[in-house]
Amino acid sequence: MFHFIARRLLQVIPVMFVIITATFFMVRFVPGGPFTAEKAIPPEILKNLEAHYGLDQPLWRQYLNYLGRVVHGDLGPSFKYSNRTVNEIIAQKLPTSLELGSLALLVALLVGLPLGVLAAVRRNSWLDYLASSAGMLGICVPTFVLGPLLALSFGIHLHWFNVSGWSDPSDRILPCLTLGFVYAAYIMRLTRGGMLEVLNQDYIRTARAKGASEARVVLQHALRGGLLPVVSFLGPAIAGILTGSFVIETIFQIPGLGREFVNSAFNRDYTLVLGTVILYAGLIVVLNLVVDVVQVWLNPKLKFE
Amino acid sequence: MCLAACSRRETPVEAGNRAQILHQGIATEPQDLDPHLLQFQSHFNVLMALGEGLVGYDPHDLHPVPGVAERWEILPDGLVYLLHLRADARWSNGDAVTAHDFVFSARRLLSPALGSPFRYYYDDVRGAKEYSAAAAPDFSTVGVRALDDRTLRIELLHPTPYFLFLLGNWSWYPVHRATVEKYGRFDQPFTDWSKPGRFVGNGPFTLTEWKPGQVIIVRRNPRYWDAARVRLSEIHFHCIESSDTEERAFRSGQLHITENVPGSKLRDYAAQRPSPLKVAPIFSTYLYALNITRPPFDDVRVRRAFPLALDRERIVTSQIASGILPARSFVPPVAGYVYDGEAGLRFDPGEARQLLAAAGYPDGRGFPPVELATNTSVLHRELAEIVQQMWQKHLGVRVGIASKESKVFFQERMLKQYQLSRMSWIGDYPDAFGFLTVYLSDGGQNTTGYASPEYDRLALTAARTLNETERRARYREAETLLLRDAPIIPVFYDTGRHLVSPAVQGRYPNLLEFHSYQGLWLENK
Repeated sequence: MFHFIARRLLQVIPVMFVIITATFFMVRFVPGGPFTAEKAIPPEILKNLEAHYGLDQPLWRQYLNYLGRVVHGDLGPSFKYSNRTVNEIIAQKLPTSLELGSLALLVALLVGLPLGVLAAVRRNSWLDYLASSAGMLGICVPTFVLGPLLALSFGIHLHWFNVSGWSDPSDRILPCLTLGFVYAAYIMRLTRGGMLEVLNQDYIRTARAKGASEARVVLQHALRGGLLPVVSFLGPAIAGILTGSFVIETIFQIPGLGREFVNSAFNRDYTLVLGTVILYAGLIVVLNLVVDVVQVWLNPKLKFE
Repeated sequence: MCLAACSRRETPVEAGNRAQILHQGIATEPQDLDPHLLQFQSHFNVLMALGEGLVGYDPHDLHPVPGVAERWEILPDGLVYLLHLRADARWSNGDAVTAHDFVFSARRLLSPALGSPFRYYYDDVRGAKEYSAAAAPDFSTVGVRALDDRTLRIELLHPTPYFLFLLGNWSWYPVHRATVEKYGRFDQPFTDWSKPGRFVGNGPFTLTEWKPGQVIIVRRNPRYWDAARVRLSEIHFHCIESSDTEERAFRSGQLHITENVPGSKLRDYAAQRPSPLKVAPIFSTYLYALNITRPPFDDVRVRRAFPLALDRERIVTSQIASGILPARSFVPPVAGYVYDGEAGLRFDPGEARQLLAAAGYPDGRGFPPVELATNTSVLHRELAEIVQQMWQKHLGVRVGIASKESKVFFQERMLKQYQLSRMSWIGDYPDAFGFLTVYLSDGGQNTTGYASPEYDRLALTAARTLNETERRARYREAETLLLRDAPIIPVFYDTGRHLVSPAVQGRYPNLLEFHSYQGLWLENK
């Protein structure tokens, strides 16, 4: 297993190099720049600003400078938030996105897994139809509809929660439920599908024939195999959920990284775009590795080869 | 946590009314609180709490009132201003605010290395342009001088009737020298001096906390010279970018004042009695700019035909709840100036067709395809579609609409890679020259290619005329010429639209939406 993980981690280096290079040049070839604005900046001031950020140097040199900085863990200054570095912005905003993502993931797992298992075990019963319909609804209703609906009901009419901000502990509830429900719907459907497939396997029939209780059959024998599709889904999903959700963060005015990820592209904040892409790509690579390890652990047919 | 939260709670607005804490939305987060590097005019709201210029503004009509300067003298030629600073003006750390602070601040703002985008506020000051262009390295050549601790002398290049107003602008705000120099060179941009815990200001409030992406909190400054008049204890400036989220925050009692109102909610709010929707004219015109360096708009007859074919009354009716008014000229009514010249904008499709025919396009036949560029927004798109239909109906020309991402849109406009382009202009100071300056031949914001020495002469002469009646007459001449040459198609005069809680007292609408906080308080209604 050690060799497997070490080999995979070594593969990260060329992957990250390609991602950084592609992003660096793609973002630089987009029309408009960080200082393009409705009210044009006088040319001499633009020149000063470009010199301040090193944008007056040839592109290849800027690229090499950037690579040199990244190797030392320095993601550079932000163009939009002039007196903050990208490292500072990520350090400030990532914990918020992590908190939002973790709580939403908890909601998603607590709702999605049991519902998925129940729906599979009680296949074609009213419980299955109810859970499947809820799952379909969760997938069909986008967060930008569910979020404002929850805000309207529990924030504006009942005054139980704030509808924007991230100061009070109760500010977490509406955004986490909104984000969690959507993922819960996917998890429910994948769990149900995985469980149905496993429950038809011979070894489950054998377990039942040997007199194992239904709970033991489901929880001990079937669940492990039934969760494989969910685990595959969770790898990239966790990376997405932890690095923030642009929609949820905008609806509830949450100071997370998701908004920066999207807005940095609109603002042509070159360094922030690269910083967030590096973080996101790094998380995807690591979580995919974790998924592979977990899958081997869950499925005895797989090996670390 | 959920159970604890599940009960009707006192809202931040209700709690704020008790404790005199104002919650105000400011849409985007400021890049920095350095007054010399301000990004958006809306952020001036925050700076007005933290700083104060030589003069302040009357909250009703914006006429200059004493600020750090308790009185001033303008020598008869209008070229020299002597400002007498009050003895009790203090920085938030207790230091005295002196005339030397203003000289230092002027030197900093004009320094080429700082790269402040607001140098043009000093253009009328003797030697300022040369110093900021690094042509004259010695600041003593600039006409800003401290005669003693409490007297500042400013010398201008030419009479500037609205100059006193400029002295209240953020670009003239003083910065605390020791604090600025503690965190970097005096002319180094984006240092840490303006962060909470370090910021030293001279305004009615001090910076207490800045939660990035959330809120900026300022607290009453007991050292402010007029602290007795300040009734608010704190102001929380909430950075809520989405106008829908901001509107929900207002409805749920989290905000006293919003920065924006979503267009889709305007009608509903306007119908409420009493309505929290406050709509008032601002010094802004919505227009379409024409690229006159390329066909077909290089022909003045075509340029004149397009505005004549716009039924502005209909456009305004389509946006009824927004309170906008049809544009009769480029400059909105301001400080006694209302354009009433012969080139006033009107709807005359017959004359428009004649002009187009004279240009070689009878009933629009043979007219080349034209593209109207807007930045992505539902409002801009809707308006562009209305205008597109009018030009199709009255001129027989086909105009395509291209919605573009903002940065692409602004860049293309700046590089003159457009034919017709949406634009809004907001005047910086309540004088017609705040608008007419745009279309000077060397104007940095003039993206149309319009260059008329006659217009330049008329506009600049007007801007330097001290006699009010004479100045207005000259502005009228300049504007007549501009409207005849038609490098732009003004559409409507815009309004400021905010949701304001009835608890907010002492806040008055004004053309530039400058609302000082000294006279503002909260009262349960």
